[in-house]
Amino acid sequence: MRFASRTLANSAVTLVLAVAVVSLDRLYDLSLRDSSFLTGWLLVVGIGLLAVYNGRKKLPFLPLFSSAAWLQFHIYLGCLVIVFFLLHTSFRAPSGPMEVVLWLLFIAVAGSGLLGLALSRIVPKWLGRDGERIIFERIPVFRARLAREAEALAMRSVTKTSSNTIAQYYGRTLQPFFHGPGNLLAHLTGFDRTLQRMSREIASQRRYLNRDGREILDEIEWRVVAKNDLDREYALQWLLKGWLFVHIPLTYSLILVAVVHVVLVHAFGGGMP
Amino acid sequence: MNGVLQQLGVRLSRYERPTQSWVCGKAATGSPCLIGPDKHGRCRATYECEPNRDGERWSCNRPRSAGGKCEAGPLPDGTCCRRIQTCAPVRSLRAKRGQVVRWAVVLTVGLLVLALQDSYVTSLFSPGPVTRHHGEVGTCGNCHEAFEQGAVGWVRAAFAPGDRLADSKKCLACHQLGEQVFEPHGLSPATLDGLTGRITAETAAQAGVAHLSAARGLFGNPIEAVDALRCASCHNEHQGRDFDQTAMSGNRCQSCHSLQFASFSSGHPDFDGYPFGRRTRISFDHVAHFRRHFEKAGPEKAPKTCTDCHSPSPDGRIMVVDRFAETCAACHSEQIEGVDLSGPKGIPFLAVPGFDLEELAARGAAIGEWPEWSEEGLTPFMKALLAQEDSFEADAARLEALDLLDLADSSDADIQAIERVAWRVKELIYRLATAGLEDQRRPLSEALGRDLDRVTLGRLFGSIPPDVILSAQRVWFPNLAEELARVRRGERVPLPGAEEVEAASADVGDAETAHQTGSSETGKILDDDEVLDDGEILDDAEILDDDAILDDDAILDDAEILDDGEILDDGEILDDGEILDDGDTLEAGDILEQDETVAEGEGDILADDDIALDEADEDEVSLDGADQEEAAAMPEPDPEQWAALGGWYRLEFVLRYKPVGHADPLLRTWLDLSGHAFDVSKQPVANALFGLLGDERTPGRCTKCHSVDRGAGGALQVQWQPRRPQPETKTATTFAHATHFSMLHEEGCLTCHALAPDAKYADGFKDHDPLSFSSNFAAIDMATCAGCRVEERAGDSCLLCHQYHLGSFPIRPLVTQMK
Repeated sequence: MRFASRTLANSAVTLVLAVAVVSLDRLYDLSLRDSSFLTGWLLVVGIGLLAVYNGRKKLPFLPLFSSAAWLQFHIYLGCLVIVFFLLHTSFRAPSGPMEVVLWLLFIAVAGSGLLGLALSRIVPKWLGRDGERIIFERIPVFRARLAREAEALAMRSVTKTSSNTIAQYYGRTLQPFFHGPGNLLAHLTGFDRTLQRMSREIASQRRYLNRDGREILDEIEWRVVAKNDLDREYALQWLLKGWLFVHIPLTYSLILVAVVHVVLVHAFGGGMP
Repeated sequence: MNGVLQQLGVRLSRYERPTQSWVCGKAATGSPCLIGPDKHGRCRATYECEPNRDGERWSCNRPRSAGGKCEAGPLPDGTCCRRIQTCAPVRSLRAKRGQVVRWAVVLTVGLLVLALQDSYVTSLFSPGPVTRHHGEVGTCGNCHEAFEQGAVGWVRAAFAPGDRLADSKKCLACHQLGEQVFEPHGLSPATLDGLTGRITAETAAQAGVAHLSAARGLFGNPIEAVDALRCASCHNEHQGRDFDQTAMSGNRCQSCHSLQFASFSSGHPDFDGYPFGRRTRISFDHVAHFRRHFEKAGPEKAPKTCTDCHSPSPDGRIMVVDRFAETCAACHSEQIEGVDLSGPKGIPFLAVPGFDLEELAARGAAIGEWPEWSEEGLTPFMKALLAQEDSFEADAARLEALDLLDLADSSDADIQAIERVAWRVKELIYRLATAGLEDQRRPLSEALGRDLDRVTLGRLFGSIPPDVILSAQRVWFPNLAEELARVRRGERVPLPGAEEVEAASADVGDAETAHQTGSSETGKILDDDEVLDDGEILDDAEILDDDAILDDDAILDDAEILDDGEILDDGEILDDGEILDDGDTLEAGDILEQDETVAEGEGDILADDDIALDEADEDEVSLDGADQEEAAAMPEPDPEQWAALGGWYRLEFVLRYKPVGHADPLLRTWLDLSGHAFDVSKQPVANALFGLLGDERTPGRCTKCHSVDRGAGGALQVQWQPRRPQPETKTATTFAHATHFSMLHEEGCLTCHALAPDAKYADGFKDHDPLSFSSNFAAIDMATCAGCRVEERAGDSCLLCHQYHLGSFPIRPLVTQMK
């Protein structure tokens, strides 16, 4: 199934279910029952099913549909749960301390989930756009290799050109640049001007070098570009993985607080529903 | 440089395992070992490869991705020559995320446990501030039954609830909403079924409302689906300080109702006689007054606008009728005063029953002395006071079947009953005259079926002065004490005539004494020093009335009575009732005491002193000139005129009470008590009392205007007040007049209240059923309200005109212990 048609079909199903739940909520309210119990339990079940996805990933050997199918289920159920949440809270923020915490946790979890969904749709298109797509775990290896090679080129330039121009430039500017990941925020925001600045600096070094020196400088410049691409890849891939540092831990907190909330509302619900 | 960093392939790159918890510590520097750390994060690095043995030779086995075979090759013992420096493994990104998850869980649980501490639990677990009305409720436990049970108890209460109404019952500690608060509208199932049945029968079937039908179909009728409604079914708390807990959608109101409709303007049932749920408490025919009575009364008395008689209640809800003095008094005061009554203006309270004394004497009845000319019967009040006496009710019932003034055909049992009743009456008068009114508390309490307090007892007797009773006793039964003493000694006390006959039969020589008559009774009075000393008695018209009664031809024809012929010869004077009633004529009594005057003026009348007053009497009666002049100066008033302002008075053989005006407390108290005890089968005394006082022709004429409703058990209740605001009573409809004044047209009240000139208003008061009536005004037309009661204008919520909790809910009494 093509992505567009799959998205359309899933969205339609989600929309129908959302309308059904909204209607059910209204009808439940009309029957002199507290509809927040209905939407509340839908929320609890929904959040539970969403959380199961994380467990499913830890049990890859079980024949419980593909991870991709689970992801689709997770995404659209997540959207549906947001509808439950809005109905449950009557589209307004609560005023009790614990309710506020719960409300904020859900907002954070749902928000991070939506952010993750957006990132997973957008960021991959940016990966490798200006260079190679590198496996995240290998980026340090390549970064170290580029650093070693740049350092070797700088050392070689001294003997080959009898000049320390490149070596001084390397020691002053390039060595810190190759040392580790840098300019992550600049890469994420798209306002990175490091490469242009360093290209200008490298260009300004050329007039002091002979032919051999310029060849070596070209080699170094290529590695500067590659290192910059690695930094960008690292920033974007870290973003793809980093949102889960919010989404998953807060999900557990959300579940814990929700359990207490369920106990409290049933114990103090005045005999409702 | 080919410009490509990453080469993918089994032999060209190593296999990445991002799900492992630990990675080599050298990965960050770009030179991780191939084997990596174990699952506990321990470095497992030894050598770059494990050389292969090929016969006697060892060959390097380093993978191509790690650089391929090294130049030096393995050592002679087969050990790799490139030892790897061990590292400190670090957590993988995934493991770090798991660590954050664990910290988040620990932090959350810690905060929750902290929040469970007593000092925080109320403030942290509260779902929000309560409304201002509940601001002083205090701790959670005041409203939530489970609160005091602690965290474990909360879990138990949440998933194994006991009494589902426990929290709602806590609400009732402050909100008193009747005994059946958890029933729909606080009404009993029987009442609710009756109402539902009536509305269903009266309302034409109509298509249901889709969403309401769907809710009913999916979740059932709320009343049937749950065992009882809870407070939280309609009222939510913890929604903020200014939250309106009473707000509720119209659709929710209809969820239980059999008849469901879309809005007020679409499907709401007709008003069905609204606002007239019963007849008016005061019988006031608006149409008759508008068209006839006000014209007769003239502009000075007749009201000019509706507000001359009606004013909005303080809460603005209803239009109340103004006070009697401001409305009806101008025309109806005289009716209450009895101006238009032809007979006596007072209500008979105490009376001397009239008997056929001649027959009684002939049959040897022993009732002692008895006024000869009374034609009265027992009054309902006397029956009430005597009801508890042995056999009285049976005797009274027997007497009612007799013609007491002609007992010729009566049986001996009838005569015995008359004897018993006669002595009961005398005992009653004696007790009233001597023991006081407090003595009547018990018999009256039993007769009226309730314990009477002092105030009520006082109202029942209208603060009657003792002299009124004493005066009556002295006139009616002057020797009452002596007679009762004889009866108590077991003697029979015959009628005076019969007694003389008996005496004559014993001593025939004393013929003159044996032929004493009623006039002789007068002589007895005159014999009594005390009585003779009492000028009032001598002046009393009743005594002289006795003399006057002697004018009766039948008695005058009696030879024995004719002994007093000289006295009675003057028919002109004695026959003239007016003269006898007149005080001046009563001065004639003085004439009896003045031999000279009598001898000179009316020698024929009182010429014989021996007859009028024997010698001894004359000596005893002789009064000095001064006393005679003083007695002569006292005129005898006309009792009816004397009591024109109301109160107690005696007229002949009846002690009467004339109402002192509107809202007379004596009449009201008797009507209330007898109406309360009114029951055809059990309280005949009360029935007789209410029959007398509840007759609209009875003086006071209370029930001419005040309607009488029959209540539970047949009790009757006089509606003393027109409809008044009852803040404690919650009715289904809550229309407020005052807020609608600004919307009235020039027709004023008639904008909504159209007259119904053909209605049989008066017919609605012919029975005691307040629900059987015809109003003077047409029912409100729904169209009157429909113009505004739409969502776009004033709204069409059910709660604009209706309220849920029905019944009377008294305000909680304030109890302050005095120290």
